[in-house]
Amino acid sequence: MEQLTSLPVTHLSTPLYLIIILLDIYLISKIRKKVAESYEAKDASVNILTSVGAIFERVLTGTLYGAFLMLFWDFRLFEIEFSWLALAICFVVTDISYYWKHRLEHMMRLGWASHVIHHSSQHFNHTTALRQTWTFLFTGLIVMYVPLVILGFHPVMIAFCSGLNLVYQFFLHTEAVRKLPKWIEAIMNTPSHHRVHHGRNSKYIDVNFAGTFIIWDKLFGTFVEEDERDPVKYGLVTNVGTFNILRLQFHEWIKMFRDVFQPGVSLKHRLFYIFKRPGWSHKESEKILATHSTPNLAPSNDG
Amino acid sequence: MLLDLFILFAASLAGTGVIYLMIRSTGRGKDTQISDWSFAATRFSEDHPDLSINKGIVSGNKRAALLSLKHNQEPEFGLVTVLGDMLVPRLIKKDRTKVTQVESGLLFQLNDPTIPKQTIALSPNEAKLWLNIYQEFSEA
Repeated sequence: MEQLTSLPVTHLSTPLYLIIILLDIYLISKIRKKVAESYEAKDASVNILTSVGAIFERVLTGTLYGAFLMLFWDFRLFEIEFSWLALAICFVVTDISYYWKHRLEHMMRLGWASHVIHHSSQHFNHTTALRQTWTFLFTGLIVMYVPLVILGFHPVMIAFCSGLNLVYQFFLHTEAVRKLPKWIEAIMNTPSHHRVHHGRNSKYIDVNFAGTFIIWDKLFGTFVEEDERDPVKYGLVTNVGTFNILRLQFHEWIKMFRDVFQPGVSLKHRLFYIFKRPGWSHKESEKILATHSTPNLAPSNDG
Repeated sequence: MLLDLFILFAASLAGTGVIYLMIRSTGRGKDTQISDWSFAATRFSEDHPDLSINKGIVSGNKRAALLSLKHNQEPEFGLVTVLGDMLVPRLIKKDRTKVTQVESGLLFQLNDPTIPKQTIALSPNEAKLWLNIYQEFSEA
């Protein structure tokens, strides 16, 4: 069991991802025109190249995350042995942590600076899942997994479950699947629910943060059902006009630091530029303008 | 470990190449073209429904369009650029944009990391006309 959980599942899944993407492009696209339209050559290439960088980032930072979580291991409340039951429970509680981590990535500028790249494509297909951040380390949101260590789940088990969670989410990034049976749609995160999450339509902004189980969104008031009368338009409220990977990775960091270090702003407001919602401004006039230009400011179901 | 990473890196690069070529071979790798300014205006209005569009001009290479707009009687300026098969609209902020006439048209430099500098290919007369329109807007 311990050997199993030490497998780097996200890295091992890479060949599977490539095979599924190829099948998607050639087979499913022939059947469904909408799927065919969801792929664009440069966009897909950028997505995959971004994921290569993300793998290196995870390799470099993985040890740091592990070391950080191990700081709390001595303070654990329970002794949870490696077992299938423990693994199943760990998977569920990791998914709750993922939900809150993901929600903070949208609701806090620091998190959004890192996460925005994942939403910066106007396309939605399996390659979009691979468009991942290289800067998660700097958000500090690894702390969202600390409660699990204190509960007694070993960081290795948490890393394994987080990896499985990410692999599951790869399959959500598709237009090939419209709706799954009702009971699955009620419990699990599905392609339909996740399409909504990637939408820039005002009613789809800042909703459906789930990783594997959609029940957390329903529980915490952030669930919105896909509405066929309002087809999802993907991307950001203000879309990025480049395929340059470095710009895609760092543009929101640049904008955030410009806001933080602008002259004539109080320390409190500088901190607000980091920890408040994306688009927040200390100037009333820009608060109104930001609703035109920044995601996450449209009315949300934020509970 | 390093060897594994090297193999993963090489496989991913090869995979990217294969996927790029496959998408191209199925005819879905061509950039869109802005046939006329109303096409760009439609996309612009999606993001900015509160702005009315007076007129526009399309770059000679059909990769960008400039739009002259009005918002509550105040002049505004819009830029729409091609990104693959999609369009990216941007409302120009006068204090953060530098526009200069160059040999091939107008060069737009937006102080915005999400948009690289854009040259709108225009004839000298068109460039002069639109530079005047832009200057009226930026001085308003």
